Amino acid sequence: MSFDKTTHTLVGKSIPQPDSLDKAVGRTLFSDDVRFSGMLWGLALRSPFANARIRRLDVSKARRLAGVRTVLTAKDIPGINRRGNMPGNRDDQPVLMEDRIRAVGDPIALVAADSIEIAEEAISAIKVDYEQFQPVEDPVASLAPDAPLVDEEGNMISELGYDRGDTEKGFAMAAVIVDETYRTQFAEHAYLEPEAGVAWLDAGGVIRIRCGTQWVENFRHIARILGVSHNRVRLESPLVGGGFGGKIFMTIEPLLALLAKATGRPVRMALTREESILSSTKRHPYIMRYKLGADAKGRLIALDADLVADVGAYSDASPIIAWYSIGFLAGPYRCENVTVHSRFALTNNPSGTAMRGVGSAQITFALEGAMESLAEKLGMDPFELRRRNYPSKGESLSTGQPLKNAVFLSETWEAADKALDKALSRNKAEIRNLNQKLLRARGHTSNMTGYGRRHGHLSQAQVSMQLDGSAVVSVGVADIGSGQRLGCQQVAAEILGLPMDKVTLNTSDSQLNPIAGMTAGSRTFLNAAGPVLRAAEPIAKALKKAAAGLLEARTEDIILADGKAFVMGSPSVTVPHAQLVAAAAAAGASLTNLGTLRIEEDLYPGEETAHNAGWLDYTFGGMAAEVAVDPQTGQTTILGLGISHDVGTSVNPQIVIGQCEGGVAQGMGLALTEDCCVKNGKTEAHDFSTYLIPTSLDMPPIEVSILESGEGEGPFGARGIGEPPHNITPSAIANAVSRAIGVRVTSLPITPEKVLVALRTGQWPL
Amino acid sequence: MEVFSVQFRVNGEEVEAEFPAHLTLLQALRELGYFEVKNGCEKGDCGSCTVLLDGLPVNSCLVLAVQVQDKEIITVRSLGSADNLHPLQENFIKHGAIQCGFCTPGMLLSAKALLDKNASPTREEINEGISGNLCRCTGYVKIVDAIKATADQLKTNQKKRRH
Amino acid sequence: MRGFDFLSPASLSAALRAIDGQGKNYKILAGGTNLIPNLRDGAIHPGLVVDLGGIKTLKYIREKDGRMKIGALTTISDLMGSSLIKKRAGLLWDAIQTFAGPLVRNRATVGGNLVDASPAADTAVPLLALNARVKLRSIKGQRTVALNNFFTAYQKTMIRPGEILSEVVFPIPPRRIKHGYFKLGRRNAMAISVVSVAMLLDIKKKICADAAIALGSVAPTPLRIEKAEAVLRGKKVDSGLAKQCGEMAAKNASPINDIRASADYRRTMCAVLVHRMICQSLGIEHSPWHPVKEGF
Ligand code: FES
Ligand code: FES
Repeated sequence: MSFDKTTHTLVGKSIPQPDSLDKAVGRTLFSDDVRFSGMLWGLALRSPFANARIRRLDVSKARRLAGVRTVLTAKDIPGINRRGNMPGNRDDQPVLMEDRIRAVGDPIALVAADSIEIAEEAISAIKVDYEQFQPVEDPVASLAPDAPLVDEEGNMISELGYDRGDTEKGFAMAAVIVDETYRTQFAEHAYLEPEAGVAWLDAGGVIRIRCGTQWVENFRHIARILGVSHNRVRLESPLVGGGFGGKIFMTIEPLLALLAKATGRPVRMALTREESILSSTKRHPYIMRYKLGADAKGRLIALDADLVADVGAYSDASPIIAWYSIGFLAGPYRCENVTVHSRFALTNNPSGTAMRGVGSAQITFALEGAMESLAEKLGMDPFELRRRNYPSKGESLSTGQPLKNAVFLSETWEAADKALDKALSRNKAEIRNLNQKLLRARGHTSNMTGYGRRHGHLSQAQVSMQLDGSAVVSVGVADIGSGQRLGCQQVAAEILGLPMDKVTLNTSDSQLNPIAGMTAGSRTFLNAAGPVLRAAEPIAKALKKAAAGLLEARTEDIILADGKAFVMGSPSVTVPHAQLVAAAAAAGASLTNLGTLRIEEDLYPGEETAHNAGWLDYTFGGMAAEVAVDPQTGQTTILGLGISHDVGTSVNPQIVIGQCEGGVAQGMGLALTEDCCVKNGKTEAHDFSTYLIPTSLDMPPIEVSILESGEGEGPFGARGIGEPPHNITPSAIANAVSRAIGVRVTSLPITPEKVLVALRTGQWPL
Repeated sequence: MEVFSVQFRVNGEEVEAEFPAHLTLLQALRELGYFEVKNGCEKGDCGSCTVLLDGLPVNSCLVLAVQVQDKEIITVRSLGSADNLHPLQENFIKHGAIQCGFCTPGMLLSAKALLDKNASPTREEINEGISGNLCRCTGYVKIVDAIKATADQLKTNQKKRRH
Repeated sequence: MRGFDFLSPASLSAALRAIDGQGKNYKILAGGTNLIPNLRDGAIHPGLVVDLGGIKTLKYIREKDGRMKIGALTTISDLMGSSLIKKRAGLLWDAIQTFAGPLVRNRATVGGNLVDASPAADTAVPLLALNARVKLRSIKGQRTVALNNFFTAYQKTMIRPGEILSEVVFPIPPRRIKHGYFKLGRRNAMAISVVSVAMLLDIKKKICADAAIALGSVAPTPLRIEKAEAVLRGKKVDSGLAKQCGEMAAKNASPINDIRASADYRRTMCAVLVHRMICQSLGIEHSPWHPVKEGF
């Protein structure tokens, strides 16, 4: 889709988010910020062990305590004791454990009590007799034929792959071959708002849950657990204090709902940070073996990628993430002989789930590292190598999918490099004082991230004109802070020709709003603002028609802007929207309209018709990093970062740049400091003094260079930008460090210790 | 459980309440309905719970409610209101320094305390001043922009007043 | 967090009376930055908490007879704001710049930081190098203990039930004395040190008259490297000698593996940092000591 910005008034403007005002004055009511009279406190008893069997569970003493209103175990679940979470997974995760425990943090019993103190007392009064087993910790070992079963159906959750061309022949013809194995760590989303919420019974026996989520459609899973029909559960999300993928699938929603249903009273739960980190899902660690073959001219003629992912204890979103990864494994390159293969293995570790750059950040790190090695072996400039293998618009990815929109891979690489120069120029003082003995180098990388996955999604939104000419948008999308509501508002205002404050948003309620899917996968502007655009357009047309009548002009000459209509070329004679609404209504036009965006389900990469595979479109980008490594301490200092993406159309530059800066910061964490340190299935880094996300003092100058090809599938030609900046960052930093120390970085995070070992042995440690 | 009667001021209003000794100031303030004071870790690691205690920014999760007898507490609510924003609030909104907004109340108070102490901080000094407040969304860039812009603005206003 | 009794005495003597005879049933609350999370976690369950916050007389920074006296309730921010500390105790001043973050510094106190006796305590390491002593008061009287003896084991001190640490005192180093502090952490703020080094070097006519080297996070307690100090005394310091000191530091350290770093890495860093910092504080061009080549 191509788009011409000049005809629009709001597109391209840095309009602040509609909710910032409330957030700035402390008025926003987040998940834990509402209270009801008679509200109870809910707490969960969770397993401290990763692999165990419950021999005996005794809640009788807890039930007898004064002030305890209910104690629930698996037996008390009225419906089906399975979380569900993602359609298509194994449905292997109980809400409350029956007998088998597969992960640290698995909930065993729930308590609702008059106060937190009583609830705590009740929890400690519950007796559990555990039979402990050795946890399965290694995904590769988990796939061995004699490995203990994490799940009765077997430990392999998903095995996927595809072959194109003849990889063996490709390698036989290759002038150089690189064969390397890369690893990544368990990463925590580390949203600043821990999981919290309330649930209560509403009129008509509807169970209501108010809990921060990225996906209000989870209400269906809750209904199944409660054993009630879908119309009896209403899930609404307040504004979410950060999600990053960790709040797509249910967190405490079913626990809240069970307690509210059992007691008939409002119940509140709020996890502590430790409980949050110990019990929540994580980014999957990947082990990726890349074998790349190129001819002497640097043409990629064979690519063999083998991925083993640590699923953790439950299948959760892993099957779908496996599909994502298959789509990304061959990267943004043209290669005729490709073999990719992935296995997703259960362990007794924390469950892997979606995290910003889902199924892709790990891959970019590995593939771009291997590409650097290939360039080195060829004695070729890394950019030159990539340039020879970037597909152009109209050509196909290795999956076979043709690229119908602009492919700005060279452009973003070069723009990122220039941006880095700019960033470094802002860091002159630090660089001047830099010890000369530090090892300095620059590293670059390329990346593609899909958006608009072809899941057969149906997304809808409703737009209604009010009689005074203002408008209300209703769409079931959750706002996690990155401008989801703003996007819908800006699109509606643009199409209807209204000032921003004349468009009100009504979002993230599973019963009141048309459903628009999850806030995830860089899809939301396309999948939520897209239907808003479709809902608004017929209304705009009706308004224009009414204006044409009133102004005695042709409908196509009418412009709607700033709450008024006028005839193109004579903006001084105007009719306000209120009058247009009246006229349109009188003419019988509908002033409320439902917009629908359907992305047809299509086959995945490797299927026969792979040309339709994967995503509607991709966002392409480049990044450059400059680092200084202390060869004595192994410490890495990032001196500057330059990042560039083609966002199609930058509908709101401030939001786009904010996504880049925030994504880069998270990517820095993934590159250098963040690691859950999972041992015996337990996340050792379970607070913010051990799980180290970057602080303000860790941020180097970042320069963002936004390119606009005008070609994207979102409204006004926009491309998804939520994830790409995060995906690309670890690989840029890793490539820079590799250059600096002369050893390929093959695992994350890049700790000072690993750097020292690498310098000593010439090998990056595992 | 024994409770202690504590009197203090929050945002200029007298508060008198009874708390058990173990209640933190964070918990107490939230119990009293000051939900703008956020709970992100209860360990002093994140700064979401920042309040000004007798003018100094502190982690309210590291203070017991019984310790604030006769003290003055400021939350973001009294920094400015929706129709009378503090320049910091205005600039946070304008510069896109607020994404999910969970860190915002704490961040604004640390920024306020910084500007009270140092009216024209450099970017480095701003980074230092907010280094006890984690933000997972913004990468801090726009937050620093907003604080810098506020400092510059306050300086020009002052100059104008002097002339 | 369980319930407990709470007292906020207005004077030190009242506080001492309150804890007298309480055995181990009480906890002293100073800045609270460690105590309060520990109470919340249920890591400790005292019957009584005595808050020293109301005792204004424990908050001071004074110079007297060539000695610096710091009241136990002085916060890290108070120290940072003190020109006296900046001018006369540069080592301590340097060290506190990286103490946690600005919010914590407004609460955390010198006394609390020492009594917590964490091997990573950011004030303990420079104070140890400064030959600080701590004053312990009880209802029966007071005693003064060298900080070097004060820390007895991991998170253990010489404080007896009934005693309160009331003051830290150290001789103000003459102006000619060079000092250096370095904290190796995993990030630039809100970091717990992986290894920290504090040192003082007194060089007269190119000869080292005296030296003090203290390390943090490399043993159960903050650690003085006396052997290395002895090696430096009376000698002309060059890169070779500095390197020898580094190796001694590594030998004297007994670090552990934890989530922040391995024992091996910490030990190596003792050698690297002590060598590097001696050279840096004396402006010696140091041979690029390379852990890689030196067999780390
Ligand atoms: S909640 Fe107090 S610092 Fe995190
Ligand atoms: S805006 Fe989300 S944590 Fe700062």
